[in-house]
Amino acid sequence: MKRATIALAAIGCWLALALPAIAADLNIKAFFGKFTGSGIAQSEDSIYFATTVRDTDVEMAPTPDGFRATWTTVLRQGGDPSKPNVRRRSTTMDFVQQPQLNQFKAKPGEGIPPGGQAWARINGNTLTVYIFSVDENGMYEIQTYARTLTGAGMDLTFSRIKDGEETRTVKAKLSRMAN
Amino acid sequence: MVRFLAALSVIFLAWTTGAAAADIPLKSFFGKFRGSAVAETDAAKKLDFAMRDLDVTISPKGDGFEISWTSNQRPIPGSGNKVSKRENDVAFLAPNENGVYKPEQQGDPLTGGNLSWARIENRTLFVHVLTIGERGAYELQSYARTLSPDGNEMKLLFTRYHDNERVRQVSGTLKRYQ
Repeated sequence: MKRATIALAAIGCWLALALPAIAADLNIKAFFGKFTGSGIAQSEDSIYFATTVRDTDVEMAPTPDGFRATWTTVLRQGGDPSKPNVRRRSTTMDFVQQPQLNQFKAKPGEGIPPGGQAWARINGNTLTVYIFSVDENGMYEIQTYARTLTGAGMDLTFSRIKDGEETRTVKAKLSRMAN
Repeated sequence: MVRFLAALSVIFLAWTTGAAAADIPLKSFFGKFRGSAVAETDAAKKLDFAMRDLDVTISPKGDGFEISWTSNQRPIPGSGNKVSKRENDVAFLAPNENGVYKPEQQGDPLTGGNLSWARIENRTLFVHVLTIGERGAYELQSYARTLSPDGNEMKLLFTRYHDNERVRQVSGTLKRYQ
């Protein structure tokens, strides 16, 4: 009897320790808002050349059937090092809620290469957007934007894989802007 | 001087185009191959190795091809496990103008289907299959099958990616037996 009590207590302790570790997926509403920050990009070229700094911001807002994400990146590279060339790139994508609570499918449009597809999923505190495409020569590319909510705002990890090779990664920290 | 530069250009072109090997025709891959391979699995950062016996048949189908393969994983001695057998079969239609093969009906990975395609580069036939799991993470399986110059040996390199991480690699050699 004593052994059974100890065993039950041990199982109870294990459950108490293990359950909080299994984080539930956040609701998409937690990601709504505007975030701004900057990050470092590393590409194949940057083994030989300096990594590039980019400012980035993202805005996520609800739509009747899902959410809209708009992200803008400002790149400073090339030209005079004291006055680098500035390029601004902006993408908007609409995602539709799927039967699975944590999944969203992108509507065709901007940001999706011809024949490609994009989707998003929430895993714990992270919303990941995937953009997958196969070009006319059969080479594939997959871009992932993993946005993790933190106490201070959001961590972004962007990765681009071309035919099995990681060709670019960007790591950035963003702060949530007041509405 | 102009003649010299022109001659130099011709030599350069002849050299570079000669260096770029041509893709071998699809029919070179037709046949039956058998062999074994080592599977390396990186599950939760714990490396695991296993031996597999492989059999692959590639046959013509219309202007495309059909490929079927089986993989028998040998149990680790003393583990008490049985041989684990996997079978796959995919048919690809005639290629597009750039040599990319697609199946007759492409699946939608977002609803549980497979998105697959194939291409030949030099002496290698690549087959890729993309799926998306119930939790929305993707899995990409890539099979690279390279024929020896005499066509009697096939090197296989299989790689499985799960959400940008390479979780399994299988490499082996197969011999043509038909």
